[in-house]
Amino acid sequence: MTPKLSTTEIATLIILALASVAILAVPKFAGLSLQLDLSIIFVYAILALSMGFMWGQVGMLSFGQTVFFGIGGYSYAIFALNTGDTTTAMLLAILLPMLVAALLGYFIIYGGINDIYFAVITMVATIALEKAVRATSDPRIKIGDVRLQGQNGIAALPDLKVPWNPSETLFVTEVYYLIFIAMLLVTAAYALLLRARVGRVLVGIRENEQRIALLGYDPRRYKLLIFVISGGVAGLAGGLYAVWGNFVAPEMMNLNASASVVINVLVGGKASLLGPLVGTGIVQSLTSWLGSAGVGQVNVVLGLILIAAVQVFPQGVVPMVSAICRWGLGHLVRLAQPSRRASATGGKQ
Amino acid sequence: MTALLETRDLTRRFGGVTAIDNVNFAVDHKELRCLIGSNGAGKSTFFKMLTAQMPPSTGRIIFDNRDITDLEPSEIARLGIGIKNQVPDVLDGMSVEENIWLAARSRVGREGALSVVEDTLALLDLRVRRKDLVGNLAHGQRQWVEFGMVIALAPRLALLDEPTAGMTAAETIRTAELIAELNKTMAVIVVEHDMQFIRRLNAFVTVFHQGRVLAEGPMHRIMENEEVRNVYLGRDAA
Ligand SMILES: Nc1ncnc2c1ncn2[C@@H]1O[C@H](COP(=O)(O)OP(=O)(O)OP(=O)(O)O)[C@@H](O)[C@H]1O
Ligand SMILES: [Mg+2]
Repeated sequence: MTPKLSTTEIATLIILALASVAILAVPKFAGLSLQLDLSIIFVYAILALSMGFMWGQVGMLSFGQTVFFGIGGYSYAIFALNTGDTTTAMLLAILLPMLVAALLGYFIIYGGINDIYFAVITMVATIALEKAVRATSDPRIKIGDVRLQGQNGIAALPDLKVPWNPSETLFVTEVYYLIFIAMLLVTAAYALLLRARVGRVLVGIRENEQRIALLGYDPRRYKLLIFVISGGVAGLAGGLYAVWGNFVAPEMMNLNASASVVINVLVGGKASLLGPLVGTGIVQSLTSWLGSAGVGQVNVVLGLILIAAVQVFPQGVVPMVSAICRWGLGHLVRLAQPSRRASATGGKQ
Repeated sequence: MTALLETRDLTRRFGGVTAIDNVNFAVDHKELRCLIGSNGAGKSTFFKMLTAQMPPSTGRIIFDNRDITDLEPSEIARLGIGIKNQVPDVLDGMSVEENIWLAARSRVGREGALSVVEDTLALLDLRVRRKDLVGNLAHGQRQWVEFGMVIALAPRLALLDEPTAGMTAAETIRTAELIAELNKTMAVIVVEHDMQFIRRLNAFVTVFHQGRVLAEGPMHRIMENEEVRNVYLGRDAA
């Protein structure tokens, strides 16, 4: 219904375009370690977006979004190690989480379980799976030829191969580009979804679920759909995580991991698509900086900073910054106007 | 021809209160009906059951020869019942045109929806407000947006729960005209307290009292009904 782009959308596109130029240029100037650091931020940003979209646009709080992240990572690991086929492994990293999301989502959404329990059940799911994987340290527990190895995780995963040329594998810089492009595509896909009818209905569900139902849309179908899509996106992030570090472990799914997704979204703000991306960038950079600066209790310091952040910008950083920009632009326009008026009257005389 | 909508011994209890008590009610295709009754008579509860916003305790609801008692709200909307609730029930965080577009788009394609939106905005004189967030509108205009959603949905039965509440006199007159317009293509049931408004609609009237049907008939007959005057009109007229 809205063929024209809104100012927010245009601003988002400009910011993404500028960031893209900078990010694509990074490997020209910076070493592999920065590329690796940025890559993992992008992975977490994809994960945060999958959670933030549901929370901000639809009002569904999937507290345990990491369950799909973990399943995605383990799907890649187990299939790639068993077969050496990394392309199919990556596809499975998306599809298996979608399948699990469909089953879990059907149970929660069609079971008439209300919103608070939605957060609780997804959280329980991620913790339960984490514990289950931890309990697989017995060397006899295998899937195919691959030992799950409990809390040690699975290491030495194969590098991603070029789908049309499996003798070639992707190195750090290529993985960096791949993950960044995946992040852009996921963001674009969510943006398009938001503009489509499905997206409008989802926002309508956030606004007033009963009214949407009275207009003839079954809210359950739409909620299940976005839960499955976002499960696939989180799974993709998990697969990319496995490619990034050649490693998966149950920590991908623990309470810490799932809470940090929520925190990333909160800091950036859940109202926009940019919010989860920016929030992840800020929080992850801060975390690694605190770690390298030798601050002992990283989590405590981080916690304090977060509390302060939520106090100062309750809607998140992105809405705050965009409000400041709008205010600044308004002033610029006003400053520019007297001269325009002067020249206009000057022209008349 | 059978009725468009029929309820059979419809009952709804809230703990000890029986809000709707064995109501047998029928409305014909393209009929205009007014539903009146004092506060707490059960009018809104009745509407909520018809649209599955609330399950009945007992009894059945038949719409177009089909038992819809156990359907979901979205299914009932698709079968052709649209409702404007008593409390404005809109999408506050979305624009006026988006609210109406969502209603239109649920039944027609992309192109069709756009033209339905234009027509509806024109009909309701909301064109200048199209980009405004519904949450920022005055109460009367939010009611109209909801009314617009019902129009855009083009149901076969429109349920309007106090459509003129919070409206100016001019808006009320306009609402009566719009209801008459709607009634050309669909059956309409209107819940109202405003007697002048009901007279203007010139419809068949059903009176609810304490969850039961107290009387039914044309407005002038209802006005003469001793029992109705005692429990309802008398007090209002005073
Ligand atoms: N959700 C509820 N829980 C408990 N009691 C309720 C509920 N909804 C309605 N009731 C009760 O049911 C009775 C009928 O209420 P209802 O709102 O249907 O009346 P109404 O005819 O629409 O009144 P009004 O003209 O004030 O809108 C009232 O006694 C009311 O208190
Ligand atoms: Mg009422």
